[in-house]
Amino acid sequence: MTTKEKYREPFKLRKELTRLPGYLVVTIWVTFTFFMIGWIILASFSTTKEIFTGKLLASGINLDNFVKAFTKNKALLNLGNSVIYTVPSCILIILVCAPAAYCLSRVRFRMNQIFEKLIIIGLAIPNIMIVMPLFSVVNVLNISGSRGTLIFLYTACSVPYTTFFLMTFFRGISTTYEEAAAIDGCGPIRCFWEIMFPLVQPAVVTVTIFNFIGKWNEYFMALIFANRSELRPIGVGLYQTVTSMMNSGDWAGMFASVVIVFVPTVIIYIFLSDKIVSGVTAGGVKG
Amino acid sequence: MKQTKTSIFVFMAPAMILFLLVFAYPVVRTTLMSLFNVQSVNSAVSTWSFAGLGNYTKLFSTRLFLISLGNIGKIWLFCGIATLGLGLILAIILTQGLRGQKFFRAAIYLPNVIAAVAVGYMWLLYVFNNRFGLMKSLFSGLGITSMANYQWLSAEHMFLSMCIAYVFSNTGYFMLMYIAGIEKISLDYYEAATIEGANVFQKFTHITLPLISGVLGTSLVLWTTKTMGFFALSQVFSNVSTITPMVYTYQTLFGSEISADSVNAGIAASSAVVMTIVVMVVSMISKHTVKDEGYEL
Amino acid sequence: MKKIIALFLSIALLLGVSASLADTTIEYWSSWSETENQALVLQEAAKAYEATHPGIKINFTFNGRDNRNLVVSAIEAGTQIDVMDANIDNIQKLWANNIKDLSEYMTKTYDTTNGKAYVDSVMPSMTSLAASLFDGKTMCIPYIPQAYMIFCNQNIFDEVGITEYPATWDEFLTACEKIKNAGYTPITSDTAYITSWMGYYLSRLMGNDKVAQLVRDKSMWSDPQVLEAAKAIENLAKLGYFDANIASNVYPVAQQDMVIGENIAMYINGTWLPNEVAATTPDNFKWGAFAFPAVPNGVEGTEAGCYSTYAIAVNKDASVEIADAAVDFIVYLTTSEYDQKFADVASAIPMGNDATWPEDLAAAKDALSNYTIRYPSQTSLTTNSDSKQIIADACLKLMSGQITAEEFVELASNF
Repeated sequence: MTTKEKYREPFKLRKELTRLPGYLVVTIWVTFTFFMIGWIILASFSTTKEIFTGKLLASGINLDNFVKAFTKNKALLNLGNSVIYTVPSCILIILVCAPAAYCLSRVRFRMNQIFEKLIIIGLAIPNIMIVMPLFSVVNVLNISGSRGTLIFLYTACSVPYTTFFLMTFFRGISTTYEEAAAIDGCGPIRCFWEIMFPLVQPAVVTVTIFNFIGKWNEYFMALIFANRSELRPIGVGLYQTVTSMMNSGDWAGMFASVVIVFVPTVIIYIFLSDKIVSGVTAGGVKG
Repeated sequence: MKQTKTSIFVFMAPAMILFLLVFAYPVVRTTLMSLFNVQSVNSAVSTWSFAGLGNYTKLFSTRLFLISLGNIGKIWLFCGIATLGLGLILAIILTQGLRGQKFFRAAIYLPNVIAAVAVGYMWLLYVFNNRFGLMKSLFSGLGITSMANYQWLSAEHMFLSMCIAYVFSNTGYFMLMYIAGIEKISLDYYEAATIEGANVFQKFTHITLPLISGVLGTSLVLWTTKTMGFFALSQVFSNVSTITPMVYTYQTLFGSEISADSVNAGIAASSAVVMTIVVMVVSMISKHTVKDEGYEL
Repeated sequence: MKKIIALFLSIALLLGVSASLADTTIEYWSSWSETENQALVLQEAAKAYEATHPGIKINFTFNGRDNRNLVVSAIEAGTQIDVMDANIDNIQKLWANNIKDLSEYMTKTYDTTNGKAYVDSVMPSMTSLAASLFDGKTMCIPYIPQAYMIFCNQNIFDEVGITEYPATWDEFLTACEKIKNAGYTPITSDTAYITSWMGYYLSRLMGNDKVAQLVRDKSMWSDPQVLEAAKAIENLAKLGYFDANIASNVYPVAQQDMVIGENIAMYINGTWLPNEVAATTPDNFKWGAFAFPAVPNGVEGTEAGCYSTYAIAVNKDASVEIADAAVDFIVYLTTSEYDQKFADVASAIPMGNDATWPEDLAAAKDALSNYTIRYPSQTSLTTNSDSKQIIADACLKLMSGQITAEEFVELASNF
């Protein structure tokens, strides 16, 4: 991805014209997206009455919502916690799942099919059936009440999804890479991290983005296992603020709270996507 | 490459240990629970009484659950065709080297970054509003009055509206996944095809499609698990036509804020088992039909 | 030397004091979200209580409405939880095996009860409700009660000349006609509360117990009284009393319409309604409220209604010392100035007999104080989650005039 984009092709009208339908489709789609996100942002600057009468910003830009959301909302205070939970777990997930996905997709061994079935069961079982019994699991492992609990759970709960996601990307790679590495005297583990892993870089980046957004917005597990105020991540803070705003009929304030969280999330998302790309590429041999 | 037992162990052990730590007990407990009469999810095992397949027969004689299965089937099929299809089209467009394609990709995925509840209410209060909504102004602007007066939120149209919202918010996810699959393909193939004089469609059907068939199969399974977990939107668009097995399970497991009269963890567990089995069957079928040809790249 | 001894003693004293300060820590798991007004008042009350009761510390964990599902799992996993609150029906169904009998505390007197027994200082309907759910024992102490009834735009009622709230179905129909003739919409509802009209009518006509059976047994729907109720609601639709938008009113649109458009007269909703729409309610808007009228041939009248309450329970494994302190705090919460604060800040119904209700709920107070028979939170029609949504769907179709009463019975009983 990075190599392709570093090269900027010169503007050729004929070539761009053949891409016109493509431009058209994505432009319509993105316009629609901006209309909707734009509405949420405008709503956050309006009054609740304007939201329900379809006259956003009729009384001009209203900053009260943000003042209220900032004083009521502890979400921003929880921003640091969210980073503490999501970043390590996203890294750990890849360190744990990428080798497993590689092994399951390319190596024939006795337990292979059983493991693959287990992964799918883990993927398929509804989350709520997992979460409640985890109380006892966390208790038996004696890890409750610290930030590590949630990092551990986030990592472990993503094992089926991430492994399954990455498996298909490893499957298509030519065996010549491994054979060449073996001839060079490269051991299987080094061969994996230095040769095979960089080859699935786009998939690792993508699944990490999905994991990141998933953990960032996660609510239920964080509510249960980070149950002290100072441990709570942004997802819990936001959910609680949103429900309390809705219960008191402050819809404008609700949208303002969402926007307050949305802005840093997007910044972190953009910042991290670049970091992820360079992190995955670093030290890797280009296919 | 020949893998030794040690290297297999090193590759697999961390993932499997974490998996078993977190999933083994809940999965076994849920499966057992589905065979017992259990009042609440917290009930001690000593209070369980064996019911055999009783929970399952009760579940399949509950019309609401059958309705929810029908709904999820429709969502899976129709929204699936739309979401995966649109995701694939957008992925192909955005791997052609369009100017600003990085921006387009990010923008299309953006709705996934916003809290689901805000997006849900945005659809409800803005897009589908029958007095000043986006759909209304769009269609009256285009002069299509019949569509401008369409009651998006009435009981009979709610399902369609919800599906539109669902497809729109999921397309970005699958688009990114397909892009990752397409970018894995070496450019040499396309260059060779261009020299041979192949057009865009030929390149798609002869190169892209076969080479991402594995990704397509995976996306189908992930789509199935995603629709099975369908929840947030169905809370906002609440109606009998939008109820899903996940909502049903949640209701049966936790009751509602105003009433816990019909809480029955045994039934909830059997519903969860049914959902798990459905996903497993779909993944098995997709594994056998969407053959991962194992083209070497 | 003396100085050293004095120093030593004072250190020992300090240590002793701080040890006793840490003596009783009450862990309180609550159903409010951390930033909700109810939670803010709770925290404020706890601070004030701690200040006057050295040695007691109250630690809150705010879980939002999910609290009901978390408490028992957490207790069983070994978490220390001493006090917890939830909707009283949920406490009965989900926590009954984990909570302490508090009956003996009810008849005692406390600092804030002015020499009276606690049970005589707070709303009798709520304490009797608490006792009725647990075979006469008081297993939890109510606070922040809620009721579900007909709310109305009092300005419209005044303008069209409805001077007394309708107490019978005929009076109700007359009122609707007056409202409609004046150009207003008599009734609205949205999908979340759509069962309320049918639920109340059926409960009045057949009695609550029969409705509770009805939602679990489809064979009972052949009862001619069900059709009679359906016909009454069908009639409201035929007469054009329901909002024209009723078919596509998704929460929270109807309630916002009611206060923004000031065009709609009535809406069955909870005592939380005025608070939920406070941001959009014009200053001159006046809330009225009254009990669902008695219906022809009905077995129950305006003496029955839907109400419920949040309640606070104490872990059955809590030590006597902690339980004493916890109940003392709960009593403080419901009889001190903080009871009034719940009313003033969170528009909640206060527990104390002498407390002043929020102005918007003044009329609701009259209806609630007449209740001697209790219906569940939103009538028994919503108590079976397997049938609730199917019945709601049928109600929506009946009220928007898409189906007849006969078709309603067929559709609603098909669960």
